[in-house]
Amino acid sequence: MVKKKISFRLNGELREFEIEPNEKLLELLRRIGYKGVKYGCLEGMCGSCTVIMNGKAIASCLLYAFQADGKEITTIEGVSAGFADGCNLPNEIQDEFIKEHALQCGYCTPGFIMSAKAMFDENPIPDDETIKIYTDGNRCRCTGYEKIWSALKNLSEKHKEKLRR
Amino acid sequence: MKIKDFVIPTKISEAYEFAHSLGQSAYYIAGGTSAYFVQANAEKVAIDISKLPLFGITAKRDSFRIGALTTISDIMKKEEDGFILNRAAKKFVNQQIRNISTIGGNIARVFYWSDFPVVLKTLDGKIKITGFDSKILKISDVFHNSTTHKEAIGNAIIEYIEIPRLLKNMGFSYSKETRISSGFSSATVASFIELKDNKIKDVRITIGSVFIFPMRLFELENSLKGEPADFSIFNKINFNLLDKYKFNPRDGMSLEYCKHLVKTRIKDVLVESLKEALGEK
Repeated sequence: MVKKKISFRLNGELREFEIEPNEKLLELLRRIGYKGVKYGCLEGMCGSCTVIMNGKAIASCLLYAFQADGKEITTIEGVSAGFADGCNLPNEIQDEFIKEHALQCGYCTPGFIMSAKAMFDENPIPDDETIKIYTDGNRCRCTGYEKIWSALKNLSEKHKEKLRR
Repeated sequence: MKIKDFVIPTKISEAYEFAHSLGQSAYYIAGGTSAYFVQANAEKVAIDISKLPLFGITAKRDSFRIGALTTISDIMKKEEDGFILNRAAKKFVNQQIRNISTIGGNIARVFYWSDFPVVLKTLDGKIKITGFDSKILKISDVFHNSTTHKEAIGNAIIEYIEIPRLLKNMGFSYSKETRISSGFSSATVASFIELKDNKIKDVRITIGSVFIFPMRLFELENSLKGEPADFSIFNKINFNLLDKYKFNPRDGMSLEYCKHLVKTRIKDVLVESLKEALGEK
């Protein structure tokens, strides 16, 4: 199979990749070391492989890598709040997940964080219905959803408070 | 499906040239989600049409034009008086798929669980095909059955879909049954009602998923035309008219359950459509 070159901005950095035409974006990202993007159902139903493409949460298991050509891709590795003592610092969504105990095995967490990030970037004060719509493509088999939704509702409330001040 | 190569045209003419030279191995990809359902061993060359200028929703006086590459999430977010496609978009799979799937893709390749063909058949608008053989087709002609659909769209690129604006005295409702929130539809039902002088002037009912190709229920529609705009008429619907159709129950449904589900949902959507036409919602 012919290999081809594509380029896209990955976590803010413009990069070039050699890909096989049949390669999925998920496969490419994991091949180059972005292991926070998880294998799951491979049919766009579980949300474990969620990344942000041009501001929108998408299932990287369904997208061919060439479809990302010229786009901007953000993975869980690119959303930290900074870097200190050799570690990425959690962003505000991750902070809320920790406070609410909104994760157990953690496998679905990067996907949830990416869906939530796309939502908060678009709408900093989502209501309950919006939160459910924007996370309806993410599955969690451990904690259920209440704690995850609580974490996201809390952050929405905090944003609302901040705007009031 | 195995993609053995890809091309990314930026002009419609370029896309057609690629399709012409590649012949049978050409495969248009916009969002790409339907590629999952193409035969696993089929080797194709992808023509990525996502960069063609076919985006956006334009409001006209009595209608809306939706560019074929408009994503389902953009349709979902569109809020304007008389725009009703967003109601179906909200029930479309999940956010990750709504963000990449396009309306053009959803209607160019019709699977029996497809959402928008059911809605578009009910709204009865138009489809514009691009290219040298550019033409405007009636949705009712394109989606008559799988053969007319294949003949009309085939390897063509859709430019836009035009649907009527919902005006006063009109109502529309849509129901999609799934076993899990982002699952495939087990039964999809949509209805449209237009009133005149407190009587049903026009009514359209379309069913999907339980048939191989979405179907309008013309006999049932005709039985309601001219009836008074009163909810009690839905208790008199002659559901024996459904007996001639070959149901294709899925998700473990028995035939009896499937028919009962469809009957119940037909009543539900008709009640909701009438409520809206009467200005009660």
